[in-house]
Amino acid sequence: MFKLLNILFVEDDAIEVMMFVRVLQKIGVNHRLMEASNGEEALAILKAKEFIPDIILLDLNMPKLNGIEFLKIVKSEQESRHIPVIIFTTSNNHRDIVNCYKIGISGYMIKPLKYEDYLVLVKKTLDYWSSNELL
Amino acid sequence: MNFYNSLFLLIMKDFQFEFDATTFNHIFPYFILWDKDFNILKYGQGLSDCISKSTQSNSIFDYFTSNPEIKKRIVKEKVTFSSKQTDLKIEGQIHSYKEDFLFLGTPILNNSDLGYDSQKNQEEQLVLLSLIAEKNINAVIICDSQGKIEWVNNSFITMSEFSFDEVIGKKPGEILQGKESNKEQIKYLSNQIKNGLPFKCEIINYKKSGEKYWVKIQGQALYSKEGKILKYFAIEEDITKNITLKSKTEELASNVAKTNKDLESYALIASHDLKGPIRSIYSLITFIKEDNELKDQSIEYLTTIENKLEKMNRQIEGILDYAQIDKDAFIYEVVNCNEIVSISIENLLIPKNIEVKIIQKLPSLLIDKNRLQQLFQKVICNAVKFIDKPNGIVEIDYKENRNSYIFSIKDNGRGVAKVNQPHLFNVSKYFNNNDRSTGLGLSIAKKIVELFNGKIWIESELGVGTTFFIELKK
Repeated sequence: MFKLLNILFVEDDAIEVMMFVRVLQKIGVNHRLMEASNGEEALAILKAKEFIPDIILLDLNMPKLNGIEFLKIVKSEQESRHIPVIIFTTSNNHRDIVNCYKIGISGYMIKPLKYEDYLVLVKKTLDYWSSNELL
Repeated sequence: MNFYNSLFLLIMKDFQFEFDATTFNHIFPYFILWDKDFNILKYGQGLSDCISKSTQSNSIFDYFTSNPEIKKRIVKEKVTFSSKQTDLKIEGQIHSYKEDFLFLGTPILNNSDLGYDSQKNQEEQLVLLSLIAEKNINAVIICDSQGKIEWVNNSFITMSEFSFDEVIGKKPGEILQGKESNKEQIKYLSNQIKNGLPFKCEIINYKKSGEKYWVKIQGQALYSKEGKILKYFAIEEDITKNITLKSKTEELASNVAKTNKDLESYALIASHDLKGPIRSIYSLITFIKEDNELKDQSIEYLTTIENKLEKMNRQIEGILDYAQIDKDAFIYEVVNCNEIVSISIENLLIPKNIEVKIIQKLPSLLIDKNRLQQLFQKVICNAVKFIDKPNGIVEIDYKENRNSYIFSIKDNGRGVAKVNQPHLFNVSKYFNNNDRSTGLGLSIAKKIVELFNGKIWIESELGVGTTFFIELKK
């Protein structure tokens, strides 16, 4: 069954956020989007429990609390552990991939340069999780 | 060869020793030093009767009966010198000393046939030897059968700053070794000494003032005829200067390695941080195109910007690839090269007019799979890229040597001008006008090959083609 997702989008770059919002509009599916510009904001949103995300899309390069640290915390908290976290990043560094894998992620996507390619990638990801009974 | 002579040789040959006639006269009144032409250079006072100074000549043969062995200059054999002028017969051994020859002997008493060893008590010989050792630039230590110091020479006193009285009766290890003396070496020494075995090592000693210095120790036990240990004998050479030099060189090398690593980290971070802005700019341009009706020329400009951005992105990925190759992270496993080549062919977008074929089944190597993949892919990519003929062929083959394999990747492409060949693998240059190149492909290939301790080179003819050779150890 296809369901609408609550997406927690953790990304500090304003233009990246803009790109993602635009993609959502293009896809035309009304997923609900909550933005957090850094790890601490994201944690606060999770704690507040007003918006319970179905998936978390996470960028690794962030100021203050960086992506990996945030991931560790999410995976250690009882209440947020089960939420699938999908990494969206420009880094194809093997070590980063291995580190994230060890902590526990549900996907590792490398952001392509071209906007068209990025749109396809995001659409596929969201379609996959929308169709996923696990949620 | 008796122990006496072996010790003597130990002093004279292995360490610096300056010949001192006065010392020699105390111990060996019957010694002769001659050069390669048999001219006597020095002799002991016991022979002053035999060797008269009034004669003009200096040759041995004027004073001693001609002995065939002297002429043969046999070293380490017992020889007898018979004086022409007196009844004196001396028996002993010839040693080579630098470029000259040294004979050490004892007079043969007329009423006995007794040989060398019984003439002098072995203990006496040892003490006399110490007198020679006195002149030695290195430290000489003699210990009793318990390992306690009986005698040290002046060089020891200078080196260690302890006085003679301060060390007598003590074990050398107790006074000389300290905090930083290597514990394994200490154990080795006491083990060898306990078992009466010869010992040789380098270790830290401490002067009386506490200052540390490095010594090279060499020594052995002295046995009586019955096989009992009589004494211990050791020579120490101060090698502090050598060790300091060695450690300075090591420090320098590790600093250089660290700086290189820092630079690579920086390259990684800087490149990575550039990716974000490039993406942003690219996307914004896409949005501008999507949201507006633009003039054809404007669209052309924007497309050009996009192309430039793609090129920048490729460049950055090249730098990241290059900087990320880390030998420490290599995982060695048995890799089938045929698979590697097949994967490379799949990964590369090979145009239909180009055929890549493997001439003979390639061997397997014990190597890091990912890096080998990267290596072959870069080279094959390069071969394919520069094909300018309507039907392109890339042939992959190998030759087996005793210790290595030499792979060849041959294309019938553009070729490389002789002028450019030496710089082909350099990081900073690339010669083609093809916009699709980042220029780093071959540099990455070379870096990987070198981390594998292999070699990479080309043979090429402009207009005909190029063959890449990669040599990898088995």
